[in-house]
Amino acid sequence: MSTSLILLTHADWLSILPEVSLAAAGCLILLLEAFLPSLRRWFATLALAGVAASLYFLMAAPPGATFDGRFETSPLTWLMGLFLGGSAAVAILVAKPYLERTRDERGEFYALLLWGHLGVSLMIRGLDLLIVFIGLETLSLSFYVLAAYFRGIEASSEAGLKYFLTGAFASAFTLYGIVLLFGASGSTRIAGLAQEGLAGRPAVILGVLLLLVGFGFKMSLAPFHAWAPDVYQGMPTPAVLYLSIAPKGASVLVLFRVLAATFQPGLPDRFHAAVAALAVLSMTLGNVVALAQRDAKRLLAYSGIAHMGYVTIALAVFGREALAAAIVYFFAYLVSNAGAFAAVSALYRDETKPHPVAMLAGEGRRARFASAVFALCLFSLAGIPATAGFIGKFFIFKAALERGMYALAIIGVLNSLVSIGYYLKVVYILYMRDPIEPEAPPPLAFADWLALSICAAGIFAFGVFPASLWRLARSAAATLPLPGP
Amino acid sequence: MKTLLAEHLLTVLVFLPTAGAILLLLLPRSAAGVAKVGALTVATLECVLSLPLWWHFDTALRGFQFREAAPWIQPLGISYLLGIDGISLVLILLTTILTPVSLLFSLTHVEKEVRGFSIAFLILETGVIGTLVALDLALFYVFWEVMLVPMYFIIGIWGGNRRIYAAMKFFLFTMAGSLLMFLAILYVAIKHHAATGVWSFALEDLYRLTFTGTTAVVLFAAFALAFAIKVPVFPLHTWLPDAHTEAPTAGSIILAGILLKLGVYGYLRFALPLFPGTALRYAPWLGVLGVIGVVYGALVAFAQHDMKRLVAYSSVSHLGLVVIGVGAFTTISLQGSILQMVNHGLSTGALFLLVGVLYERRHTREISAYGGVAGIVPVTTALFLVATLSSIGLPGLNGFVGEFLILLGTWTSPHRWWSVAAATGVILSAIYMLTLVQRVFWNPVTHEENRRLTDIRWSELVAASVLVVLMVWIGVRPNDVLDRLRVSVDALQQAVANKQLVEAQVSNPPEIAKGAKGEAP
Amino acid sequence: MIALWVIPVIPLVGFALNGLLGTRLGKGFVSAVGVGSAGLATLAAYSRLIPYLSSGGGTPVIEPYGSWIVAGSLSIDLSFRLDPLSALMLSFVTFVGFLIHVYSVGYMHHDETDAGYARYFAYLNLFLFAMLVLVLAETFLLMFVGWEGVGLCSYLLVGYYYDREYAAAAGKKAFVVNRIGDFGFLLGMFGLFTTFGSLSYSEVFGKAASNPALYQPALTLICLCLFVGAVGKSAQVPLYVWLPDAMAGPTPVSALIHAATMVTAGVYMVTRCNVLFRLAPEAMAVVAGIGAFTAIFAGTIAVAQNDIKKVLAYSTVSQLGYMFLACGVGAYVAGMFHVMTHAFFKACLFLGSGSVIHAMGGEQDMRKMGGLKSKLPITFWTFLVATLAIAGIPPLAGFFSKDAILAGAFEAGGLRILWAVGLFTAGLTAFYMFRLVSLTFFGRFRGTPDQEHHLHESPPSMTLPLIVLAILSVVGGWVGLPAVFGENANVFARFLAPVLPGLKGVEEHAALPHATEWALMAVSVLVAAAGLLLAWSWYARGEGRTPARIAAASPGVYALVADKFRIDELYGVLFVKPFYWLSRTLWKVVDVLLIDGVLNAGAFVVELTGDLLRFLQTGNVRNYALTFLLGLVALLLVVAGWI
Repeated sequence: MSTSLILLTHADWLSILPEVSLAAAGCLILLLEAFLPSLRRWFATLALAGVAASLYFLMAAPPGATFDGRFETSPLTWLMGLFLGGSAAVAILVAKPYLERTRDERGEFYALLLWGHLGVSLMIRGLDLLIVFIGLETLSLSFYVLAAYFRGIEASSEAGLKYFLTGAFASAFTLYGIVLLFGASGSTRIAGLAQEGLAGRPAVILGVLLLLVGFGFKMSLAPFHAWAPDVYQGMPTPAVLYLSIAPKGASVLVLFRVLAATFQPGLPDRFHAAVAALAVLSMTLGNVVALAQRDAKRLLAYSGIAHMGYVTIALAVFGREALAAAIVYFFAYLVSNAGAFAAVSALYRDETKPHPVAMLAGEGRRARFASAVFALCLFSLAGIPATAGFIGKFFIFKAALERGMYALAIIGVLNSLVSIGYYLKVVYILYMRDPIEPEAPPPLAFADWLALSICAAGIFAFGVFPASLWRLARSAAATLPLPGP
Repeated sequence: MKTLLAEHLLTVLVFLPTAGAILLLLLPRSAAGVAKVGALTVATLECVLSLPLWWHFDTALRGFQFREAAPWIQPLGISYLLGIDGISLVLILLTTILTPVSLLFSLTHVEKEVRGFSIAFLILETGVIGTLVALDLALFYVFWEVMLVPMYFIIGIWGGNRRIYAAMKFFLFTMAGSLLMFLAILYVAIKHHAATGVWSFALEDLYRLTFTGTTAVVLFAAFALAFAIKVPVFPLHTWLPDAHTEAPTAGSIILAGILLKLGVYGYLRFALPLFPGTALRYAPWLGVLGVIGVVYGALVAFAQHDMKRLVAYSSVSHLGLVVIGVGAFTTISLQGSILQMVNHGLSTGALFLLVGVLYERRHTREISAYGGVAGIVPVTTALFLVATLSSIGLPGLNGFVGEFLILLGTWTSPHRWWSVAAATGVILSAIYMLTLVQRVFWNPVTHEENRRLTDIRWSELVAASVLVVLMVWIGVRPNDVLDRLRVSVDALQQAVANKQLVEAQVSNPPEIAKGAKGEAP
Repeated sequence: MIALWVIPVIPLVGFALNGLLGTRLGKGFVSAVGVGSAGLATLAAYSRLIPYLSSGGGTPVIEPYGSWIVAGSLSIDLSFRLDPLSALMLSFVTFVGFLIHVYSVGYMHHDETDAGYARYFAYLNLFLFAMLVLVLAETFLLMFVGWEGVGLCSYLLVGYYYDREYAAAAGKKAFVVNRIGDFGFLLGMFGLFTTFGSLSYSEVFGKAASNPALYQPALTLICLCLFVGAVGKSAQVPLYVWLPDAMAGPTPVSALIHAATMVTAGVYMVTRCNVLFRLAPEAMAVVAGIGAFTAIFAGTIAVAQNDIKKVLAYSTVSQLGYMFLACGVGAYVAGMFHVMTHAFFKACLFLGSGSVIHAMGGEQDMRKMGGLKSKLPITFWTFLVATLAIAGIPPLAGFFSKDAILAGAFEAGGLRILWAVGLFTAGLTAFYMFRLVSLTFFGRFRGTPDQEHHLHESPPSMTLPLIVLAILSVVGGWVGLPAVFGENANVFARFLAPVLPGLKGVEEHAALPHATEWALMAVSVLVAAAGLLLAWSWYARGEGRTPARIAAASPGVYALVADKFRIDELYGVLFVKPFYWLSRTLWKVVDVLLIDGVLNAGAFVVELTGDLLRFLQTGNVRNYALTFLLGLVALLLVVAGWI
């Protein structure tokens, strides 16, 4: 054991390069910030380059487990890496003009974002719960800081503090969970959980449940969601954009890994019931409370809570198809949700103030492109056909019905009906109300335009031609020892 | 090029409007005039291109024609399948005619956001045509839902005072139905996979499935609900008066003229042939609801003091009649129902159009604000009178033929009393429509401002005349339409009959029906 | 020889021309087209009729023009039929129609705008078209086209003065009440189709005649349904209410539509279906009963009316009742005979009254007239002739037709009640008609001096038709002399015989002995004469003192009769008011309150929960942590199986 830590093989190096490049890019930006602040306007580009590089290395890395089987390179990590990279890229694109608007562009923003991203990618690739945990903490620490990025603004610092406290609390759960599983299986490796007769042990059950809580927190899954609205509201929008997408995907993947290893061939009924209950609670609570929201970011927070409910259906269905469906769902969620936040970032003039939806009245006729994409994203989140969101739901519900989980599916669609209520509310405020803001919003920055276009394109691409994405997801899902075809 | 067009005519018809919409999108926002004319041109071209369907349609051929097939989402066997039979044919023609008509009317009446308006309309047309030609359930569902979005904007942006409420109501009502249908579609496809090991959403594959017992009932209910809301069948109709009233004239024309028909179309194309036994077992309920719709719609229409609302409720009544014809399920009543869908599209379309003519000049829909305008706007009056007569089924005009066939067909069915009850609609429709005519066009002039009303202008006149000509044509030569329906209706009844036999044999749902052709209606 | 379809199409073209161009091209053009098309149609019609009659006119001529509606087992052809019955109708519909077109030129000329004038003649031509389709149709459905078509024209022409509320309302009333009848007609046709599998006369009647026993059971109901249609169209109790109001239209219209042609369509239809009705005795009884009651009921009302047109309207209703009485007792020939003669004298009467109203400057109240016989000589003499005709004074047309009906009623046996009613009505008719004449033409003028100053005879375009019709009212009856004048005296009956085929296994009753017939004639003439003299002595000589005394003696009864027995008010309470109430309640209660109420409530509840749940979002981190713990505990319980 200990030896392998010192002498890293060539393969180990190759496999870790993506994370290394992220870390390096982050450090570089900080150094430049310190010594060549004049280059500031290139930071975003640099960050993007870092993300691109990490994706390149991820693709180039030879498949297989490295670091003595603790670190995975596979179609699954590649696809999820793509998903994370995408969200990071959009976040950076949106961050550039956002920070310029706030006249508070500092390199640390990009650095922290990159390091958080590094953490998330560790989460998806770690086959050892400790690596996953390290990733989780890296993510959390960077985003605690990002949450409080605007030191001057009370809301921001408050968000940071809240996120830190609740996050620390949640990490504790995760850690206990890991410890219990270690105690039971004698190893921190996820694969170690796949031992005969282990699944029945109370320690294991409790451990897995604790992980469920811990990662449920990162997913903002009800009832572990409470932090999300407050934090989203105070956190810089681009950071929210990332936080509301990437870590959720990673957490779901981790949960799939753990459950797949622990429970062969499938979830025990009781466990299934528990997960299903979480799904229903999260969907319903998210959608119903979202109806009552007046603030754009809070509304999107609750919408996110609801969407994690839909994904959790996949977790409850549990199986290769389900994982594939979840992956597709996350790609759909990526383009729709990122687009929505990008639009929010582009549509609101003053970042330091709250973002009431009512303020968007009539923007559809002034900030045409941003509003149009915003509306598109909302329709996609609502799951209207020919958009990515529909495809995501399509596969989730298909998986559920295939497993005979009719109740879950029906509750699911009824929830989408409720969700239409608040998504359309935003649309009609955009298009069917007369403006209340005296002056038209500032012209759309190129980076914003690019981000929005990418999301719009993605929404249609996945919505109209989902076949290839589905195939990739299927083959990726095959990596895990899950039941199913 | 020519052959390409010939082989992919349906594809062209489906996506030509979208293509047009994209072109308009590239226009500068300021070029309102261009947008109007452009949209109108595209719609007219669409109409011209749809005529070959009418001429080259083989009235003797069973099954679908002008077929097109291409793989779409292969892993799930979802494919791009297009094709039409007589039923879809007439509704497609109705669409391609009503769309340019309503755009022609809008030429002079839409000032706000012209480009958006035109784009919404074209996309709407794509949705409608797509719904009518799709032979793959997934594809159908996509088009079915896509329709909602442009209509939501049309009502919500260019509508009347309570437009937002109306638009919301419209969207939520329709969604409520469709979402459950979506699950049903998935379920059916999954069962097909389970039974054959092959993924397919192709209608003709799924026809081969046989469902019985509770499964069939639940699935049928899911489909039927979605379509019943669209029709709308009493008591699911309350979205309609709001939507029709608040929508801009052109929107009302399309809503009443086309969108409602898709409910009946869906029922005939999907709910009925997929679950014939169940459908026919519950047909009596459908018929009764239809009868209630006829009488109730007419009575409530009489109470209205808003012209559009009155016409809207008259739609409830007329569609009730159509539903009765479907419920009775005799050859005559089915042909009647389909023909009546076209008739209603023309007459109600014309009524909304002419109400629009008055509204655009007087800016009120209150009946009491008019009176005695016949002398001031004689041409409008004459056209409105014709539309009214068509709507109340005066022999010699289109409405009568459909009404007569439905009532007669129903009379020959086991449910004779539906026919008797629905025939009272003949009286009731005369009461509310002629009262409307009297209070708007006859009587002394009570409001001086009405004396300054200007009569219909050429664009409106052309738009309305097209409809009037069609009313007379169908009234005099209904066979031109009926000939194209005959085989399709017959095939539908055949398919249903065959499948009922199979259902009788099959015990537990679902399994591949032995011996059933699963032939396409 | 021209095809039958040409005959109705000519006025249709006239309608199109006047409707589309009339307003622009002025009155000259309109009159030319309007009258011209009517004239051409008449010529065309007679160019077919004369050869047909000369050829004895036994066998029906059927001209198919292809298929109209084909659906399932239903197949309706567009085809016309020329047989004695349609020939008869054709002959006087076209001719009287033409005369009234001519009359209209004079009547409508001065007081109408070009647009109105064009509209009027367009409608009139359209009516002629519809009426001809009704008459010539070979299938029930095609007849229904004409049937509703004439209804439409009636609606349009009654409401011709659309800017007068009562006229517009009257038009609507006419259409709606007719629709009630058509409801019955429709069901009747459905019944026919299910029974005979066809709607064409030849097939239906052929089958029925060849195998009565088979179809008899279904027929009673069918015939009653069809008769409901007739009741509506021919203004019988209880659906007669629209006809008096229909007088709101221009007088020539009342003459053409509401006296001579359209309103007799019901009688025509029943006669057309005589094969069916003869197989349904109960239905026949109903027809006779309704007819008789309508005759006496309307006649009574006519006695107490002061509006000259109202009197004629109720008289028409009563005469139509007469015709149905005839059909009901199986005397279809007599019925059709009366249809024809009535067309002549009632058209003459209406046109005459039109001439009077014209001269009086629109005045219709007889109490403001009087002594016009010197001022309007032609009008007076023609009017007098027609009055004597309708009163049934020999040898005028009305005498023979009415006598034939009474004979038929007497023949029908039973308690002779129908005959008695008929007889009394005859007297009544003579009375109120001569009351009308006396009040209008005799005595002293009771109008304003201004009116008196303007009194003048109408132009030739109006008087000419009057003269022609008057002549016809005299000679028109001579084609149908009763049997007592010799076996073959009744040309009319022999001519119509082919449309009254014998039915297998249904015996026809024998004719009356001549003595009885003579007696009946004598009685009816006496009654008519009595009515005449009484009216003349009371109103012409006595200036209405006696009736005034009678009215004063029993004011209640008089008021009731004068108010037409307040039937309209009754219907108002029974049907109209409840209808308003119902429609409003359904809307406000079912739609708004129940359905939308429930839905909105549902939506509201969801939103409310959202609002309430939002308060869980305290923003207090300690509570958040607490929810984590609770969540974990809950999960544990679930997994441990305690929930």
